[in-house]
Amino acid sequence: MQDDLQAAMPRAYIAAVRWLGNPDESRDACQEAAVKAWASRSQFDAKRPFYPWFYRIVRNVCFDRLRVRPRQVTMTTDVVARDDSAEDGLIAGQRRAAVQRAMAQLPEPTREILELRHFQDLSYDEIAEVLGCPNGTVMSRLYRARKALAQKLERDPAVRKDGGGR
Amino acid sequence: MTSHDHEHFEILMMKQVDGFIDAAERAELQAHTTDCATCRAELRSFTDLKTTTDAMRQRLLDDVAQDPLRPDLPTRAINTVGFLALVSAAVLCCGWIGWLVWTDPKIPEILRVGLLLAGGIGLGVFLNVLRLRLRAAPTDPYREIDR
Repeated sequence: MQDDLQAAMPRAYIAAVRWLGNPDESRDACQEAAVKAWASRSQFDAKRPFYPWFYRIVRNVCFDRLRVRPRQVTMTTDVVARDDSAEDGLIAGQRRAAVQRAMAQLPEPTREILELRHFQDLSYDEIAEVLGCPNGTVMSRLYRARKALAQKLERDPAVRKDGGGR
Repeated sequence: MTSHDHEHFEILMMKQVDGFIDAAERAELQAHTTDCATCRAELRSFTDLKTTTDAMRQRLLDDVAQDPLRPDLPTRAINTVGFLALVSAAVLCCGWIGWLVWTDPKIPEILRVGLLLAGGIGLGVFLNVLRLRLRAAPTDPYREIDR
């Protein structure tokens, strides 16, 4: 399991930083999740894929941390701030910031399936494992989530000014 | 087109965007989007979205690659009987030496007390350092570097 955990850490970091926003706190959350996973390794069914199981622990750790914050901080403020810099193109940066804003406005279940596919890069089977639903439901929910996100993006002034393209 | 047909193409669009589509499905979707402007526009916006989020994800992966995260786990060695046996043996050996020193009438009493105190502290420090080294060994970022 130690190797599985090691391999899972970059993806866990992405999940944590997407929920918590702060890179340093996200690193701490990943370490906390790794220790929790290690402590409860006897509960892991080795016949099932490792990452969906570990992702749920990471997600719970992040939500616990969000709950004790004095106020709700929306995701990845640091990452958005960095995206706004001119280092790799203002339009691409604006587009990424617009996607970020649009995702923050989505209801949690809608946002989560997008996070799982776009940022965790999970297959449909793995998403089904995390969400506890059939594979076909994953695809139809993903379609609805993407459509909702695309509609929010169309209404974003930064994207409309840019002509809705990349 | 019925709603059932439309659901079918929604699924094909998801597979296309995510790269899970096979050749027959791709041809079917291509034929459909040639005629259906709505699906064509949707497919384009989903593909643009995926391109943007892929770039965002890559930036996060680059961040973590610059300063890799290693799980800091308590190692098995600490929890095993082997480590406990090592601690017991060290305590017994030091206790035996301590007893010899304590019962030796040739050594002045003040020196006996001093030696036993120094030995006890030294043993505690040694075991603690050993425990920390064993715990840190799997996650030591410099373990590949020759010392």
